[in-house]
This record gives sequence, structure tokens and C-alpha cells, in this order.
Amino acid sequence: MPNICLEPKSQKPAAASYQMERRSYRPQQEFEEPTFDLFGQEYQPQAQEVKELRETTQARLKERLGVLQSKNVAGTLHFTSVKVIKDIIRSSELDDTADLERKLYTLLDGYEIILGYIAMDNRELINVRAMAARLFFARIKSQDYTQCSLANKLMAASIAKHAIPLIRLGVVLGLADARAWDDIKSFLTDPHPKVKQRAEELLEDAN
Amino acid sequence: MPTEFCVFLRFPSKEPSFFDIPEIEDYEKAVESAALEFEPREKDEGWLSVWKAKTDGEEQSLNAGFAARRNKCQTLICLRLPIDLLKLAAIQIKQDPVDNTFSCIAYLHYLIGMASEADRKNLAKLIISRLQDGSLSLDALGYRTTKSNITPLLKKVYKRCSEEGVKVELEWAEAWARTAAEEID
Repeated sequence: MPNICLEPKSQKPAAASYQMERRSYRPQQEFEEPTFDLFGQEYQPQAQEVKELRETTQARLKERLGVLQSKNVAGTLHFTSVKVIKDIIRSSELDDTADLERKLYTLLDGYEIILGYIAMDNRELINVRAMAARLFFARIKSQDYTQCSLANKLMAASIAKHAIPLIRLGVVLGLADARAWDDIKSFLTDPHPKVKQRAEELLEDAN
Repeated sequence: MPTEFCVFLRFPSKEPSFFDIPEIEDYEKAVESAALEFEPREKDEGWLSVWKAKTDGEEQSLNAGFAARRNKCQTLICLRLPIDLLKLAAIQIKQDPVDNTFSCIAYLHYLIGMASEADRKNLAKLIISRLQDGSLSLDALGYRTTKSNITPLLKKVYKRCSEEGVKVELEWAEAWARTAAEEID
């Protein structure tokens, strides 16, 4: 029985020469219409069914591709941010550090939550997480709070209550960068003496 | 026999440092975190910038030099690496005078070879081990100060630099130090 081509040769767009060239290396079977064994009889789908099947498959593929792309973007941003944060930790030159921070915020514009994820990520080094916490709070607290997404707010709350003192120290420093003095006050009762002391010193310097 | 006062100072530009509150429970991660603080940047080609102080006065001058470059609100962090620790870790040290800071402290600039991850981890392990057995305290390892805290020191150092006829090369730092000195007078 002859097979129906999904895209008959006569309907192929003439401009897609590169595609056509690539297709010529593919096995012929890829372009053949699928057939099914239905109750012992070979069944060939009708044109409408083929169309619907194609549309559904394309929609699912598109959706899947979107998920993969967003995961890829988030992964790339996470990786690059960690790299920049490590350079900030390594640097002893203030100008370099300021430049690195500017680059990081430009890179993350709208995706600051990535810094929050880094601060919460157990796989990262503790000083990288603490610096990420500082940069995250410095950024989101200095922005208009109405523009701060719920996700960022939730992330901020989680990090602020984090069990690791060095990360809380990062939070306090970030709050000071953003001049969020009222928020720093909640660290005056921090269980770790150094976090508490730093919160006190920063508030004292602010007054 | 008294131990020779000789430390190599490292001035990270931004808090927090791992050594502020070292978390040593996860030992491997602690070593990696500490080692990161000694890792040169790519452009430094394996050498880490440090400052050698053989006397208290030299350490004060270095602090003043760096504090002068900070804004009022910026904290000065100083990490102190004793020479015996660097020798024990077999770290290569070489002098490297720089021009882009106060000329009166330029000769105190050194570089330590930190290209190898093994060397960095070795040094980190030695520090962590000394912190654990109490032979090195966190206060001795590093400290934090602010420009306003060391204004008198800045005045003293600026005066010493001036008396020695050494040019203070950063104009804005010079201006700041002069203003600080006038404020105290």
C-alpha cells in the first residue's frame, strides 16, 4: 500500500534549500506516514487526524523546548553568577569589585532570584553563598518593593532565617548596602555573636 | 626564643569572608571555601598580591594606605598570614614593588605563588588546623576596621611619609589624608 507523505514534494517551500539538503541525508522512512495495526487491519489516518496529530505534537514539542530553554538560561545565569561572585571574593581592588558587581546586576536584570538560589544552594561554597546573599539583598532591597516579585520576597525571607551564620552575615551586609536599617534591627537578637555585633556596628555607623 | 614578627597581609575588597565565621563542620567544603580566598584572579597569572610587614609600624602604614582608598562607609578587611605558615605550606614568595599606591609602602608589596590548587588547599588546611587546635585565633588571623577608626593612624602615617620626603602618589588619597590630619589638629 502506498504511504502518504506528510509534506509532499510538490508542497515543499522552495526557499528552504538548506533544510532540503539536510533532509536528503536522512533515511526515507522519517518522512513516511505512520500506519497502525487496528483490530488486525492496517489503519491509515485521515488527513484531519494527521493534521491534529501534527499540531498536538508540535505544541508539546514547543512547550518542552520552552521548558528546556528556560532551564538552560537559568543554568547559564547560575553558572556565570557563581563565577563572577568568586572573582569578587578573590579581588582586593575596589574598582574591580565595583565593576564586577555592575556586570553581575546587568546580567541578572530581572533574574535577581538566581542570587537567592545560589545563597540557598548547598552545593556551592559557603563564602560564595554568603556573598550571593549580600548581593541579593543589596539589590532587591534597594529596588522599589512594589516591583519586587513575590518569589524574591519569599526567597529573601528564607535566606534571612537561614541556619548558617555566615549567610546571615551576608544578609546583614546586603541590607546595609541597601540602607534597609529597619530590617537590620531584626538581627540585633541574632544567636551568633558576630552577626549580632555586625548588625549593631552597622546601625551605629548609620546613625 | 621570640617569634619574628613577619606577616603577609591580604586585603580582600568585600565582606563577608569565610574567615569571618568559619564553618568547619563540612571539612572538605571548608577547605575549598578557605582556598578560594587565596585563589588569584585569572589576570594575575597564578600570583596573589600581599603586603609584607616586619614591624608593627609597617602594618600600620599598610592599613592606613588601604584605608585611605576606601570610602567612609567601606570596611577595611585584613587577613594576616604568618610567614611560618607560608613556609610550612611551601609557598613561593617574591617581592614586587608597585607604583599604583603610596610610594612609601610600595616596597612592601609581594606576590605569593598560588597557581596550584594543591598549594591553596594545603595552606587552607594548615590555617583550619591551627584554628581548630587553638594555636591561631580568629583575631590574630584577621581583623576589620573602618576609615574613621584609624584616622589618627592615617595622620601619623601621612606625616611619616611626608617627613621622609616620599611622594604620596594617589592625589585623592593624599587630599583625604591631609584633610583627616587637619580635622584632628
